[in-house]
Formats: sequence, C-alpha cells, structure tokens
Amino acid sequence: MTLFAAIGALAATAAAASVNNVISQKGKQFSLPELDIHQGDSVVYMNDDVVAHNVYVAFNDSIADTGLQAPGESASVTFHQTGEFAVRCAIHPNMKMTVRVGE
Amino acid sequence: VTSRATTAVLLLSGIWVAIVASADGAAAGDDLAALKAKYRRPEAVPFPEDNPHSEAKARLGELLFFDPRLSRDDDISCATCHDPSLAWEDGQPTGVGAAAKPLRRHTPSILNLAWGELYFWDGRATSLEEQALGPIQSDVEMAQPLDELQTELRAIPGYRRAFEAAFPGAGITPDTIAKAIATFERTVVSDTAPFDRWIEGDETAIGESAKRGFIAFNASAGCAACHSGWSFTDHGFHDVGLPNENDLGRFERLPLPAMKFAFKTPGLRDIARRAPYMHDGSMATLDAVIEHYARGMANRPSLSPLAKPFELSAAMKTDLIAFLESLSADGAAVTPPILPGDEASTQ
Repeated sequence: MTLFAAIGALAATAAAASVNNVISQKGKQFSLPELDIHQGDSVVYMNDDVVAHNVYVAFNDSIADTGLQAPGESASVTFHQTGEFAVRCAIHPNMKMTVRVGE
Repeated sequence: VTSRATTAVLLLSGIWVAIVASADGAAAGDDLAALKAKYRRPEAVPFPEDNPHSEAKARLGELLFFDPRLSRDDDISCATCHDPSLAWEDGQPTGVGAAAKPLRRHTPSILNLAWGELYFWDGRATSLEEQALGPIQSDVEMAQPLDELQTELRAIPGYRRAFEAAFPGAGITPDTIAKAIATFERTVVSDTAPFDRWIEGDETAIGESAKRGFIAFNASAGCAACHSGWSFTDHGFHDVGLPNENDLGRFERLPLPAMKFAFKTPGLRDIARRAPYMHDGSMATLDAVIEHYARGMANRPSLSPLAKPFELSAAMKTDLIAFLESLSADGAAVTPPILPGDEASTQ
C-alpha cells in the first residue's frame, strides 16, 4: 500500500466512525437498520422527529435507557460488550435496529 | 362541498397543514387528500417468511380457534373471549378465564393483528405465533398444558388430517398449532366501513358530523398522535393517565420509567361495537373515553407527552363519536366452522 493510499484509508475510517455513530430518529424510524461498531464506541441517538422517543438496548445483564427524548434532544449509548444487540424505541416498537459490536 | 368555510389546523408529520373546507379551497383540498391518503387500507395482508399463508393452514387455525377442547376443561375456546359477534372481544370489562374467574385486563380484539409488532396489552409476545400459545397455557385462562393438548388433538382423526394437509410430515406440535392459529388470526381483518368509502372518494358515505370528527381526531383532539394509520394504532405503548394504578402494564415486561402504566395502543376499527373500553374495561361508552382524554387524565411522571388535555364542546364530542361510529364495518356474518368429532363420534 502506498503512503497516500494508507492515509486515504485512515481518513475514510475516521470519517465513517464520526458519521455512522450518529443515528437519527425521524418518521418513527431509525436512520439505519443496522450498524457495525467497536467495543467501547458510543452511538448518539438524535430525535429529529415530531414526537418523543425512548431508546433502549437490552445488554446481556442490563438495559441501557436514554429515557424520554423530546423532539430535538439527543442521547448517547456506549456499547461495552461485544455481540449483536437490538436497539428499540420503548414507545414505538416498530422502531428497531441492530448494532453489531466487534472487538 | 359546503359553502360555509370551516378551518382546522393539523399537525401532520411535523408539517402544519391548514384545511379549509370551502368551495374554492383547492390547495386545502390537496391537504385533506394527503391526510385521507394516510388512512387508505392496505391491499394485502402481510405474512412472515417463516410462516407463509396457505388455505389449509388458515382453515386449520380457524378450527383450533373455535375449539373449546384447546382448554383444560374443554369449555373455553379462543373465540369464547374473542367473539366475532362482538368485534372479536367479549363485551365484558375484563376477560373471564378458567373456572369462570375474572382476568385483570380487558379482552383485546384480534382485528388486524397481521400488522402488529408486539402482542398482548403489555407487549410480552414478539410474534403472533408466540402469542397464540400464551392464553392456551396460562393457568388463569385456558389452563391447558401443551403436551396434553398435543395428545388430545392427535386422538382426533379430523385434526390428524387437517394438520397433515397444512403441515405435511410435521405432525401435531406446539409449533404447528401456533403457526396454524397465527395464520388464521392474520386473516381476521376489519371489513370495509363507511369511513373507507369516504377515504376512497364517496362523499356521501359518512355524514358531515363524522367528517368534522375526523378533522378533530387529527387536529384539536390529537387522537391521531397514537391512533394513527388505517387501523388507528401506532402499535406503541403509552400511559394515558387512567386512575387505575394496580397494573403497571408494559413496565412489568420492560422496567423503564416511561413504561409505567403504559399499554399498547388499541386499533379503533369497529370500536363502537367494542364497549367497554380501555385496558381495564373501566369506561362504558365512547363519550366517557373522550371526556377522559379531554380533561380526566391523571398527571404523573409517566403520562405520555402525547396525552394532552383539550377543549371539548358538546358539538365536538358528537362529531368525534360520529367519526368513530363510521369505522364500524357493514358487518358480514362470521360462520363458526364445524369442528372435527372425536374418535368415538367418527367411528
């Protein structure tokens, strides 16, 4: 790999991480159906909708709960465990996505 | 078209829309058309990939649904509580289970479950197949252990044939029982109502009061924030401020603060035939329900932010009820199936 190619790859990775870890909630849907991240990463859930949402993730031994998010609010969830996790809105269960957490 | 201009402002998908019901309101007519389009009936019933529809499966599911032998004492069928004569409910405040003991929640209708996401008032089942086996096994409902049910059904020649036709080679198992009942339930779709004919363009299908009620339902009363779409549900969970705090609802299954006293939004199809109302059957009339939402909700931390009191006049209440009554289908009769006889009766 040339130097330029390596820098390009790093830049693409950084750009992907900063963009892909923000999920919008709009029209009672998450902006992505699935997301691949690394252990320890966080995902910011923006409420871009006209109604309140409440994101939660059922981990192996606990539940991450953003609490009620009014329109315009955002909340962050950190994924400490590896594996595949279902993310849902507690109020609107049709809103669901999968987050795959690798090492 | 009336010449008397009436104006309502709607909050729809984040866009303020002015509707002017007037002879020259072309743009407003477009807005009303866009709103009505959100209530158009779907063209097909969805079935999951792991349990596709077949006529044999649906017919078998119908037999099972109407068969009291699915209960321990052979005295309660699914249809005992989900009675097609009563819009697939039972007309009681709360259901009645095994040994005629009352249950704690109102029997929900099974209309339009094919479009559901989570099932039961508290969302504890993630598929209709899982839901179908719940009341059968529940100690307080049909109280029938599945192993005993399999034995019972395997002894009935008509069921052996029906299962073989629906599930060749798979036998009579909890999985095939659940898939058959769920398939039948998905075929239970509310029939076309006067409201649907109005949505499709027949201006004479419903009265002017019902049309005003539709606007109020979407605008000033705010009902459509949860009762959305053609079946009038967002499939979501909301605390709507009922005074009964003995039942924590969805919180029992998902212990998040916002889920306290939250119950699944029921669809409103055939709602005028489904009294009494609410998850605890505590309201006898639509009038009482509208009064509750207008000015009777308990204000507590878990109350849904969508549950907002509103100004309610007598005329508006009349209009809302007229609209809700327009959701009642014309009422094609449902004929219960002839059940397969047991071994002795068929020899």
